[in-house]
Amino acid sequence: MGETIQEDRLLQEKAARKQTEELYERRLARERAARKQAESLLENKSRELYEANVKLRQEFEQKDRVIKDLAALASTIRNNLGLEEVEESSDNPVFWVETIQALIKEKQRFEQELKAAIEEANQANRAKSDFLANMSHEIRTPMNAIIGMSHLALKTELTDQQRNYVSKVNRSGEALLALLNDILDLSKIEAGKLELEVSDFALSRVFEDVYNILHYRADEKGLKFFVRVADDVPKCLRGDPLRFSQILINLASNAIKFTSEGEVAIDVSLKTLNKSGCRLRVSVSDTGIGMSEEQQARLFSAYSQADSSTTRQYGGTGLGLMITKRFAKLMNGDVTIKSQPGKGSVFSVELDFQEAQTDVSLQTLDEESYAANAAHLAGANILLVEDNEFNQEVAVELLKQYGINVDVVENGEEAVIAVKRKIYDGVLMDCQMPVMDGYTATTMIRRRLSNDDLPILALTANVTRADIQHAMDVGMNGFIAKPIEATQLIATMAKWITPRVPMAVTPNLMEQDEGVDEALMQTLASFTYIDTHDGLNRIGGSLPMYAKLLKRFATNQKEAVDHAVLALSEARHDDAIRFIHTLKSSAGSIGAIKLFELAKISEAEMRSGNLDSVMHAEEMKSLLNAALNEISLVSINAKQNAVGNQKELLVKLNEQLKHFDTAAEDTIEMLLASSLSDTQRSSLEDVGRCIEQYDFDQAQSLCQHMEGFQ
Amino acid sequence: MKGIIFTELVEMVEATFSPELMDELMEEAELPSKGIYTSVGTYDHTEILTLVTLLSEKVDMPVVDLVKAFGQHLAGRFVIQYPMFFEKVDGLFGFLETVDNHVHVEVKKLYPDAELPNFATERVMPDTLKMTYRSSRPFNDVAEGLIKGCSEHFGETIDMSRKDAIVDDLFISEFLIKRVA
Repeated sequence: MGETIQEDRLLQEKAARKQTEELYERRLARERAARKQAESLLENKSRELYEANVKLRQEFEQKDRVIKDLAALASTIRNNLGLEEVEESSDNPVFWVETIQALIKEKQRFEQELKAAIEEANQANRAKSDFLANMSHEIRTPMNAIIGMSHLALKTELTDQQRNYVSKVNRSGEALLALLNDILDLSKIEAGKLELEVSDFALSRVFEDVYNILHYRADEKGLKFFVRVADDVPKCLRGDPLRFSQILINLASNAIKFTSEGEVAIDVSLKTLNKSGCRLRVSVSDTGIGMSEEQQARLFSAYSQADSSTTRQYGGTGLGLMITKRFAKLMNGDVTIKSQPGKGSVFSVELDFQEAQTDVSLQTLDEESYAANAAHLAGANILLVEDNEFNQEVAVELLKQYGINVDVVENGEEAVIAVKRKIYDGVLMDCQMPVMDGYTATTMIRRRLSNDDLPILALTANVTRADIQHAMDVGMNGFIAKPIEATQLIATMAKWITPRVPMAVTPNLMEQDEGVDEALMQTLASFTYIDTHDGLNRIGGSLPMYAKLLKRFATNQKEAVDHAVLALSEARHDDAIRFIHTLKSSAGSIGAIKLFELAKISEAEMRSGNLDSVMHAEEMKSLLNAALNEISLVSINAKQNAVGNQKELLVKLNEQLKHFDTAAEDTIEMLLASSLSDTQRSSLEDVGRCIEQYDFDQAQSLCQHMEGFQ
Repeated sequence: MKGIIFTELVEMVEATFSPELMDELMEEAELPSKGIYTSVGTYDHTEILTLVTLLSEKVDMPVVDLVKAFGQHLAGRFVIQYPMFFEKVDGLFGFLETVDNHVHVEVKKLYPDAELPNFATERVMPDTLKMTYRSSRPFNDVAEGLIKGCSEHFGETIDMSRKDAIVDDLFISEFLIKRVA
């Protein structure tokens, strides 16, 4: 039993031990698995660490390389800039700071150099433009002689062959002159010197100009040429009429040039209209050779035509279109083309204009109301306050025609005295005058003399709002724009002035007592530098009076520009301004529009303080000479009336010879037409022969030794 | 020497013989590490030699046979623990050729201080690879066992001959492995 019990106990103990062993084994297995997991975890972490290290090292190496490259670059820069070598360069802050500072300095130096270079280039460009302008003037002077003399030659007896040769010389001269003008314009545009004029103008005047200049050319080629203006286009605009007409002339003359049959039309329409102004669209269409798209693309670059074969066939420089485009740009416009080869072209340009401030279309007053106005004024006593002798004469002659009595004084002070002494029906008051200007004089008359009823009308070349306001403020009643134009003068006067003692008889305005001088009319019609149509209109259409004015202009103004230049060089600024001012108004009165416009700009320039030089002096001189040349033709044809003082003519002849002026021939003819002794006659004929051979020196010395003239 | 060699030896002895025998070996060997091994540690390679010599005495088997058997066992363990080395290789030769340039490179990433033997390979013929073992330690036999174990993993039968040499304290074995089937 006991054994059994012991065996049982042993069995129990063994079972218990086995249980314990199994327990330990399970626990060991778990521990071992845990260890392995930990080991694997560690290995993974090690791998991550390794990979992170590798990446770091790569980045470091890359940065190291960049720094090394930068340092190498910096060293090169330092060498180039002449900095001293520094050791351990890439780790040395001094190295970097120094290098960067040096670079900044270098950059500044470079910028300064660049600025200087640009300035130099600009200066060179200005010099080029100036040179071009000067050259053009230098060429223009002899050109005028070529054109003028060939023109004169054409008026003489010539064989057909000679006529052919001379007319070619004349035409070539004209073409060359036009080209010179283009070059001048372009150089001015490039030098940024071209500024637009701002003045009120009647659109019809511009179109008339364009038509008058171009229709001959169109006629010659058998082309129809017309200007069509839409009804809604304003009659008066404010802007630059000269540039506007230049644009139209350029486009239209191109169209005529490239069209051999059919028509050339200028169409004008209103694009937009608002309070401040309007935008016009002008299209010049032709039935000419047209252009491919490729040719159109090249068209607007300077000195370029559709292609080089165009140059061979049609000539020209291609400047015109570019100038046109630049002008258009100045007027906020652009030139566009529609064209197809063989089907003609349409050049369109849109331009901005301001609203006109004064109604310059007054000149379109019909004859009836003009006559009525004039009749209304007959018998009036008028005081003309005007310092310019020429303007005095224009106004006096004009007013006398209508039975108006005119007293003339030369400045505001005299005007005040005259008004005190005599009762006038009205005063025509120039605004700018020496001693006392028109504004002051008006103030005196209104305040000191308490004369508020006397109509005072301003005569002024400036019709800006400010001028008008000023005139209103001092008590003036109305305005008459200078140069004086008969219709406007009469209309404005009639509005304000009523004669105390009206004249019963109305003078016949359009009557020409001596009959119309056909020859003189023809001569005047051939003028190009003087718009005689315009000039005649201004004085109410009196031919003899106009001829007289022209001669007076020739005598008084022939050296106006030289005088102004001299005055300015001697710092007599006021004199210089006065010379140009007088030239301006005189030129305006006879219809020398271009000269008038230039003188106006020149005067304004000087008045605004630009007193270095007389602007446009050379151009004005050549225009003046051209005008004088034309006026000299009047003398020939009107010689019966014009035989004056022989002595005066001789002085004139001497003067002309001194200036190599071919008009001397006319003067000689005039002298020959007067009563002379045989000696005098043969001496004059000698002088004439010398001139024919262009031996002006010899002519001059002969002339100076002539005697016996009264 | 890397800890995994020690931990795997311990496990092999415990599994093949008994945990008690392993315990005896540990007690008698008087190891500097006291037999506390982890695969991620590093231990003196002489401890392996001590343990194997003792084991040889206890079980009355030649050391060489025991070491070769251990190498074979180790190969099997590697396949399980590091399967990525055995994938994407072209059989035994393909694997052996990657040991130096791939396997050991990866090992170095985990254990930068590991001192690994060098295995140069050369295909002397299409079916014959010459592999040269170079090590500062005398584990040529482990290497042989490893090669054998790997061939079994890839299911390839090989004939292997071996020449040993010691040059400049380096243990060198040149294995000529011929694929039979």
